[in-house]
Amino acid sequence: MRFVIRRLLLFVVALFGISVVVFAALRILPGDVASIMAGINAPASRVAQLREQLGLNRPLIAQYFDWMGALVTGDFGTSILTGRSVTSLIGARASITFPLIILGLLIAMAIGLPLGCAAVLARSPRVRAAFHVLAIIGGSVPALWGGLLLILLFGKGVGVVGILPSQGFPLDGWEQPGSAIVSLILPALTVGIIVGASLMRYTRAALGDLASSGYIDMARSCGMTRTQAVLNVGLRLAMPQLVSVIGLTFASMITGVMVIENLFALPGIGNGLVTDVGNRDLIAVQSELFLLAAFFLGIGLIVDVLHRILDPRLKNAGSVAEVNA
Amino acid sequence: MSVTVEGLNIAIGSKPIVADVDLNIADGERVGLIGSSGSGKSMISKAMLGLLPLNATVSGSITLGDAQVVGAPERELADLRGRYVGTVFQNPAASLNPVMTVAQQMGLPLKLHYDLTEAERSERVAAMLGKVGLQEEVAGKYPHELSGGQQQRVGIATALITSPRFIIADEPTTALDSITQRQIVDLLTSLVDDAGASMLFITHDFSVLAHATTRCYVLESGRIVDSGATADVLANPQTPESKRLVSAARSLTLRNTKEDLHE
Repeated sequence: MRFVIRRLLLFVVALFGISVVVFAALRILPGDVASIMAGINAPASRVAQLREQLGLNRPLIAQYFDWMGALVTGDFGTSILTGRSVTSLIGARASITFPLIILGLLIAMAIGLPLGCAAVLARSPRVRAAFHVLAIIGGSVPALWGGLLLILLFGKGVGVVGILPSQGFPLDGWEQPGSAIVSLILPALTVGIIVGASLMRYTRAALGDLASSGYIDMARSCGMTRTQAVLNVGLRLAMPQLVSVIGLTFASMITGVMVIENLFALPGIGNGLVTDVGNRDLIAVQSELFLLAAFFLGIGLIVDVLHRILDPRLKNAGSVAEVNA
Repeated sequence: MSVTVEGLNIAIGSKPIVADVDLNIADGERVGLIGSSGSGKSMISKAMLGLLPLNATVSGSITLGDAQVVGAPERELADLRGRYVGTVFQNPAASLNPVMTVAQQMGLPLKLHYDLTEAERSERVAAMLGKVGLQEEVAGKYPHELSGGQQQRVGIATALITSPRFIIADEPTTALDSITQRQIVDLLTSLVDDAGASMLFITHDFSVLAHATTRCYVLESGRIVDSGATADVLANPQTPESKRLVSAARSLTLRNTKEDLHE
């Protein structure tokens, strides 16, 4: 419990640090919001007026605390360009990206974990080599090409078996959950296959190391078959490692699926961020970056706590590194 | 349980590790297998248990009681292991399951082979802990919370909890300091004798060998180069290889004893 509290405090401190860095970086980077909004040929007075209006001529400290104060109450500000609240902007994008990556990750786990186990369990060297090749091929498929292939196979109107929509997301979002989910199947499959291949490699490596370890010999000497020992003892011991990999993969998918979102014309988080950066939409970008960083940190926190729960050796140690030393 | 090994050959990949090994252990006998590291000792013990790596090829015959191990399906071997054959490993820290408590680890062979209630199992675990000289509260601890000697006692308790008829001890004292080594060897031999089981004791240490076994085989580069009563082999090695091993071991033992005194 003390560990969780200490870790939470660290989380808060890190969030504060990130807020400062994000805020400062966006002020240092070139490109003035007011002059972009006013247009290229706008007179200086118009730009100054806009700056005044947007509060950009106030002291930086005051601007920072305005932003932070609002953040704490859950108000992420208003997009300078569109006038929409950033909360609703991010909410709309997240309602596409999160289901997409969760679905993608579930597919990846359904592919990667069993295949990784099978690759370790296979007795024949040929079968093991075949799994190895499969993992390499799956992992080296460029996302764009893999997605295109799936569209050509299953995409409505263009595919060989054209049964699934390949472009866009229902305008009314999740009002009709059925059509929303259907529109995410092809992109989620694309993500799932690619991430699944790398998850398979991780599973195979982590489990393969354990399969030749004394822990497995011990379990077998007690009366387990090799398969039982690898699936019971091996998987359990590989769990902390797999939790880390899955957690970090999940976090990186948020922006990592941008290419897929582009291909399938899904207005998700990654796409939105790029648009907002291009528009110099200061308030939107700084809130988005802050939330992304908080999400990454949050996943890290969950992974760390899970590690504690899964590995009794960590109970008295300061860190994972100490145990491995 | 009597054990017979005849014409055993083991290769890992295309590299031969053990060649033409014959070995006998009578019912209730404690036999040693000694050799330097890399001589193939552990591979012989792994072959006896069916625990060789997937790329190993084995030929010859290994009979435990009346079961043939070479070529037997994994399910049959698993039924032997932990029930009729107990194994004590070299490094308990790298073999005891780090996420299992001592009670769970010791209860595993019972769980896999016998239909006992939770209460019956903990009763057996408690009794066995007493036999290996550990307190009952150790049952709830994890391996990393124990000393090396305590861990090896748990290893021995796990190997012996089902009263197996044959024990393979693969360098069970190598990871321990010299005083603990002596205690562990004494504990293991007395428990094995009490149970009337036979034992194959693998080591590279002649002083431990003299303690633990009555008869021994000397292994060098995967071949048996000498065998006989342990005292005779130590006092009067017959072949050049075993002479070399014994004299090397003597000087090593003397040096270790001196170092121990200086500490």
